[in-house]
Amino acid sequence: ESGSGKRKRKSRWADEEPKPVVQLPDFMGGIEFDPEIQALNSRLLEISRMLSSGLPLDDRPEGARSPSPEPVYDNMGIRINTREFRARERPPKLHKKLYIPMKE
Amino acid sequence: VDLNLFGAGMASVATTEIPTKVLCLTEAISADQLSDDEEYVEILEDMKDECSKFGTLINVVIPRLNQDGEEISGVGKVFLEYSDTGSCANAKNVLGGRKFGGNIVNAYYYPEDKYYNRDYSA
Repeated sequence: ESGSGKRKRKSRWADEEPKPVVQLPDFMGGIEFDPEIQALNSRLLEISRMLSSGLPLDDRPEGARSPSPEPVYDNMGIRINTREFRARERPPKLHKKLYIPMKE
Repeated sequence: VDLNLFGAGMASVATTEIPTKVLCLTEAISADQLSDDEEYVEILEDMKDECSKFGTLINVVIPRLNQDGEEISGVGKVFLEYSDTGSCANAKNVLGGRKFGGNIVNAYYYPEDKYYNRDYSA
């Protein structure tokens, strides 16, 4: 090897650019990592958890609630318009909003 | 999202291509650059320096027009012969899509039999 002096010539190779480890499909980048969608998703999880837990959904204190409606019973004699039942009925609006369409 | 799941999927896609020990780079250099002796030597040097980072580099072949200006195949391509397919795969991963002299380099596995027969047209 000769010409050790001119060894420091800059290489034509560009510096190595860090490549993304995983190339996600476009729709993943668009939807899954949108902070608003993430927040909505965690809210949805929380609501689902509350619904499936069977715990009282209305945490307002006794005095602050509006008066209960007249009881309604089904043909088995079980009251159907309980507070829990109505609480289940209430969120559908939000549920609809939280529905996130995913590409097939 | 299970990222590992995606990683596994991508890996299986990547391996559908059969690796060889010879990597062919295209889009990196022009015939004009090769006709300049000094530039040719520098390009050869740049290739050897960079490409030996990925494993044992056995040979670098950069076809160029001979003195008579005779047309030979593979001008503009760079052939990197490695001691094993693993090194070649490393090189392919890093060099493919990287810029050489401002050009975005394309890298693909070259058929070994053709390379050993000095057939640079594939």
